[in-house]
Amino acid sequence: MSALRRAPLGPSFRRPELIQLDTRERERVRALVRSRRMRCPACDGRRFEVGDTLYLGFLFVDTDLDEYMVALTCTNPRCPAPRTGVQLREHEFLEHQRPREKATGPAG
Amino acid sequence: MTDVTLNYPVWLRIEHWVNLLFITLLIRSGIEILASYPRLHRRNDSKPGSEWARFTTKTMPTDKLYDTLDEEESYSSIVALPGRKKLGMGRRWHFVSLFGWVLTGVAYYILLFATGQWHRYIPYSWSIFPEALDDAWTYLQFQLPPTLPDQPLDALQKLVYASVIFLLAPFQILTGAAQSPAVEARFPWYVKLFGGRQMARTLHGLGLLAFLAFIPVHLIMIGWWGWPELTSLMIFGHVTQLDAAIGVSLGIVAAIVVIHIAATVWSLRSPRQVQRALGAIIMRFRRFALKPLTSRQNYPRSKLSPEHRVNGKPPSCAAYQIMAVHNFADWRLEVGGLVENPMTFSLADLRALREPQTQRVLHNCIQGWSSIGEWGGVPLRSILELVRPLPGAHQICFLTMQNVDRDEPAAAEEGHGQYYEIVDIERAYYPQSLLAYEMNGEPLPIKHGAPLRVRFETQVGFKMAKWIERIEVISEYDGIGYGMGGWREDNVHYDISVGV
Amino acid sequence: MTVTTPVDHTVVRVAMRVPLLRRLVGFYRHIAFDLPRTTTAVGIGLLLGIAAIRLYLLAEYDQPAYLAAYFIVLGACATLAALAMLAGRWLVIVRAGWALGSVVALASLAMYLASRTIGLPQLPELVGRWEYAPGTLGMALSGAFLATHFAVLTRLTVSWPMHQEWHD
Repeated sequence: MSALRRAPLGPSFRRPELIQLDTRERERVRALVRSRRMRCPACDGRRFEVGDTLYLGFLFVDTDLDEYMVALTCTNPRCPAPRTGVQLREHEFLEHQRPREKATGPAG
Repeated sequence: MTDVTLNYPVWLRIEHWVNLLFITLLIRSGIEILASYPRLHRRNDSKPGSEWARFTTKTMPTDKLYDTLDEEESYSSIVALPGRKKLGMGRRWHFVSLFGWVLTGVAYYILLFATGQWHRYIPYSWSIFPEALDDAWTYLQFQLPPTLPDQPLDALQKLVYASVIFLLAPFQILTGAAQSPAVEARFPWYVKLFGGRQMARTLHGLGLLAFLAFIPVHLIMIGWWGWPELTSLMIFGHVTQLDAAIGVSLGIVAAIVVIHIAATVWSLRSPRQVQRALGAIIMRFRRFALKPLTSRQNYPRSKLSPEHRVNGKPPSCAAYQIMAVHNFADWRLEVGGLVENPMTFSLADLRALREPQTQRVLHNCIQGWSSIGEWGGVPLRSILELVRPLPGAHQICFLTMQNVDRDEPAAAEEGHGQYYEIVDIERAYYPQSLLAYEMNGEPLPIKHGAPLRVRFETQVGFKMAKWIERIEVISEYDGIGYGMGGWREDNVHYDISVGV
Repeated sequence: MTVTTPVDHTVVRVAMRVPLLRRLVGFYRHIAFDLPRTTTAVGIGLLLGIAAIRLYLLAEYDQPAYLAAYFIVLGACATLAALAMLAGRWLVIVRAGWALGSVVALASLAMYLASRTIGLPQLPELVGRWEYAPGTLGMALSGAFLATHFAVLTRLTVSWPMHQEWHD
């Protein structure tokens, strides 16, 4: 249990299931969002910040094994609900495969 | 040796046949319980693949989250009461039969010692062991050994019966009690006596095996020594009317079989009736004996399970996944209902309330597995102190983001809709009743209920709702769902209070 | 380690057409143990028991030379099989040990049954003498060893140093 962290968790913690994307991967996501003409469901905005990704394939019962959710944040400062996301396939945006078990923990 | 005539008094005869009824009900319902988690482990963490015995042909995926609901086996009603994946029913029959069995046993012990009939079982000297060996040798010669002077049994039989009555039967009760989360939480040393929760379950299983071995040997011996004579003794008290003895003995066995069939059919056809009828008996015991127990666990960090098992699957919808990928920044907990001051909390609000309370505890799943985890969060009583329940508030309802139809195909065969659980409000004030947002020092994992789950350490796992979005303080639960006190209570007939 | 041939498959397929048999096999398949040390210890204990009975018979009675030789060979084979079952590094030897153990158990069972039914040369007086405790014990040990080996072959349990491959 060496991974146990004893200090209280601050507000900026990243939960263990989330995977940080590198610059190139973020750019690929941005390009996909643009090409799909995605709009913010809350304010119809078109510009997003790309955040972390969550591997869905392991945890969720009706998702395919290569599915991910990528965090998008609408950049419109007046957007009432700026946090949204886009579901993507692994090959669409990941530059290198992440260890899925590490991201999600083994089956229990 | 004794002035008492070691005969077959009427109480002994009645006890014998009543015991046969209860022990067979216990065995079949016990097999039903085993079916719900058909594996036996040695260690508390119930690590998949580490079991020493399994009673299933199912194999689980490695690339997809599975839970123990997927592992549950559907056994035939011939071996299990009632069979067909009905853990709620199996548990009820097991506990009600246990009450009957314990009452029968206590009466038997008292009468044995009050009447001097204990001489038939309790050995007087060490010489019984070589005598028993001699007897075994005689049986191997296909001959019957002599009975002990003025006693109804030979030395080997005396030892075996004494072991079953005075060792095996209490052993089963003690190892059974060691599997009760309420007992384990209040007396953590007790479960350690047996080498942990899973060893207790393993030992309980070996005890079952011992009973399963005893019964056919007992029947073979009766047949060998003389079925008519011995059944006559056990029915009429002396050797007489041999034909009638055979008939009556078969009649009693047939009656017991009919009771088993009736219990099975009743449980499969009208589980709600069984839930209410047997539940009324069981709940009285729980309220009296188990509810006052509060958790006093704090396992050392070294005992934490490297991988804590799970039951239930996360909400499989975009709304939840988007919240998760944004660290649950948009998640809100609503606390309302019969309260003076309804409130809404974000995860940051809950964290800001106070330093997290942590507890390292043994988690019991109703199906039989266990794991040890460290949970951190805000005590439920702190939230209640803020929202201030109104007079007449008796229960708390936890509403979750899990939709069983969508998220839990294995359970959707049994029922539908949003998962919820209800507990009595007093339980919320127990010291280790916790709204947990951390596990093992990290944010609560999605599979364990992120962003928030509840912990009631004297209860089994299904009461500790995960993926909570709303807490409602209520006066009664009759109008919620089917009015049984939770999704599992409504749909798979579990009890609302599950300290065992 | 099971050795299957097309003949085995045909036999199994035909047998599986019998509903009761199918149910029994289904039931059997639901039980499995991962107790390699216990299984091997039980197997060795049973074999040594079989050997010990032959040694006892050898010491206790005067018997025809062929029977004495049989007792010695059987006892030696039982001991050899027990030793082979411990050769953990060489699975072939372990499996051969179990197979030899089954041969010993079968031979012991067959010889005893023959002595009590058709009779053995120079020992006609043994026919019908079933009330012989070491004999009954020997039959029980042999039967138990054969059952244990059957359980190993069908993977109800595993022998040391194998493990059930349960890695869910």
